[in-house]
Amino acid sequence: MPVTPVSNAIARFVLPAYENFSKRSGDLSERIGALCASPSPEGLDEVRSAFSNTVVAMAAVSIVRIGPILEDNRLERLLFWPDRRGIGLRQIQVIIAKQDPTATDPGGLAGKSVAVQGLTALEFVLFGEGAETLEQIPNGYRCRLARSIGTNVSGIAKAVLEEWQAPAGFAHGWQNPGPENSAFRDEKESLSALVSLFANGLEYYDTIELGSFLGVTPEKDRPRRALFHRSGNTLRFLQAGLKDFRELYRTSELAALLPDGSAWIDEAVVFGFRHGIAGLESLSGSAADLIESPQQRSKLVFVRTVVRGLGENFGIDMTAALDLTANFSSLDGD
Amino acid sequence: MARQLLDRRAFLATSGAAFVASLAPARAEALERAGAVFASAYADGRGGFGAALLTERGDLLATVPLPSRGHDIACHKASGRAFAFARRPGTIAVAFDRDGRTAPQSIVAPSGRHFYGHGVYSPDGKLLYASENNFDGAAGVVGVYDVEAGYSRIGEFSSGGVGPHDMLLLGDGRTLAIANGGIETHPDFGRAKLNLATMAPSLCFVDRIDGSLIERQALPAELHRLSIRHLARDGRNGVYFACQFEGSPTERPPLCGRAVPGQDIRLFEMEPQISAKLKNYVGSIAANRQAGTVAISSPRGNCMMVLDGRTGRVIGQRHMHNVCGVAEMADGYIASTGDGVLFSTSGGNVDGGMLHWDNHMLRVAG
Repeated sequence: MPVTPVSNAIARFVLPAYENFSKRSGDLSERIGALCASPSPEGLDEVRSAFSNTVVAMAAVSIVRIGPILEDNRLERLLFWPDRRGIGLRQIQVIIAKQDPTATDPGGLAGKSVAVQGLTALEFVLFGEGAETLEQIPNGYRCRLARSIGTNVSGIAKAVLEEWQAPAGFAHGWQNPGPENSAFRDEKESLSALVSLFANGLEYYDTIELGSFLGVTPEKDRPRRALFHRSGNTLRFLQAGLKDFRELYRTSELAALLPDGSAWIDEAVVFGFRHGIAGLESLSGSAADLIESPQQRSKLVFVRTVVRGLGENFGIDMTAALDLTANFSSLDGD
Repeated sequence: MARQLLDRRAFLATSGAAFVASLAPARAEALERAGAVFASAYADGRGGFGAALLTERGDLLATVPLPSRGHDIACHKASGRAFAFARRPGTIAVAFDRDGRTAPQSIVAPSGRHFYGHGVYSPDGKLLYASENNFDGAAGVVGVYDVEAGYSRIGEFSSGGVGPHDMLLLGDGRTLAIANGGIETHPDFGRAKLNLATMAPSLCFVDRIDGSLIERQALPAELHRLSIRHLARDGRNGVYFACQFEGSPTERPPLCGRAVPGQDIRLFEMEPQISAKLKNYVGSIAANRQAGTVAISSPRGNCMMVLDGRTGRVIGQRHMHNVCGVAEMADGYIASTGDGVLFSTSGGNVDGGMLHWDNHMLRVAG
């Protein structure tokens, strides 16, 4: 018997999310190709807009940290972040400065550091210092590098999607636990993996995605550490991410499993999502804008508090209500 | 690096609980009956944390409040000194006296360092070594503390790799075995792993006197995501080690082995279904030298296993929900769970009390 919330999550959220990411990254890759062939300011705008759409699609993919994306360093290759010491930036700048010919071939690029293969590297190429040459030079080095990274990203996106779609693949195993299934031996293990996506994912959202740039005090704010700050997509990524968690929760119908007397957990979760998302929707601007305005910063702190509470609703309350293994060590063990 | 010492009375006042300065008569009796005394960190379920001394029957002999979640405990048996490390990335550890003669003392990691949760006393009990993170430098270090000078930090040396975790002293009293888990973390990013694609764990033997690296042992390159994290002395001249796999959950690598200075590191062959039961994750390891066995636990797989110490073959398994702490005792092992249950070979199951046992147990007497 398939585990219903897991089947729901796969059919209604995971597959559409990966399909969308594959489509968006394919579109980005094509537009970069067109820009290289005939550069123009309008062409660069289109590429940048396609990049933003890919970032939004990545938000949904990045909350499904299970299965094929964990193979072959795919997640790191798509999104090398957090990068506290700026390794990716340094490496992509060296490649551009040297005009490394092996990086403009997707095969050669795939053999390089994971830090230069994905969206954070592409962001620098498209938005960083020197990006204006993209609208001027036909088939210039920088554009060919962008095309190579775009092709690599859409190739990984396709491969992950195909593995999710494979009839006997990870999706089948996750939905059909059993004694012969080495990854999921019983229904509780399958459900735990689903609940962990929320518990661990929301903790990550709180401590990493927000915590990377929103300090405990304003003196500890670090706007330049925010994910996608260079392209101005920080807020868009955060907004998409929290909405995606809500969508995954809603479509999985996890709440239907809650026993009598635990309905309050669903109410708390729905309440948390509503207020967290409303808080994010009321914000605007770049990562720096978010924390330099005291009003915006204060709302962002509110969002973080809400997200932390949501993480506990899943990691502690729902885990106990569904009698799943206590997530004592959360993000990882020790 | 100046040491920082919280005022003892302030600490005790803020922690809101008093230390059991001397054993109450009932507890003294319990100690009399106990075959051995164990130490473990705990969570009290009401938001508080501490370290406890207990018997295998679950009788509590003493508790020491901790300001945040603890991890492992080190003990110098002859003097009764004990040290409860903060769980990473915590910065406050608490030194206490097994026999309750002196009040506990808080020790704060110097700026730029945090504790990883493990450490060991020198054989004479005068120095304490703690695994620590130099997080801005992304480098593992061993902090050296002068016990008699109020645990002032007198120096540090390299652990030989990134992310040192468990650490112990070989039988020569001089060689430290250090499990460098290989995972880079930084307190600005909580407990997130920052270098999974490039992580390179190692097991290093380091001279505690001059801090020199004697030998670095590493697993084959294809197992670079197999984080070496916990150790147990093998009673000869080496260590058993236990790992946690950070790679794809569909792979089933072996999870423990033995390392001896001057010899090739050896992973015990492990049937894929055993790795599957352990969920690619061993949380704690202990060795029983008399029996020639090793015990490993997996809180994710809800089981503990006993292995033959020479071959690594599984000779016993037990299902225990949320089990993690294991320690050796005369006739086998004692294990503890996050639900508060204890199981010992001699005493069987003791049902959950009020305390949730944390990841590690240590035999401190008997």
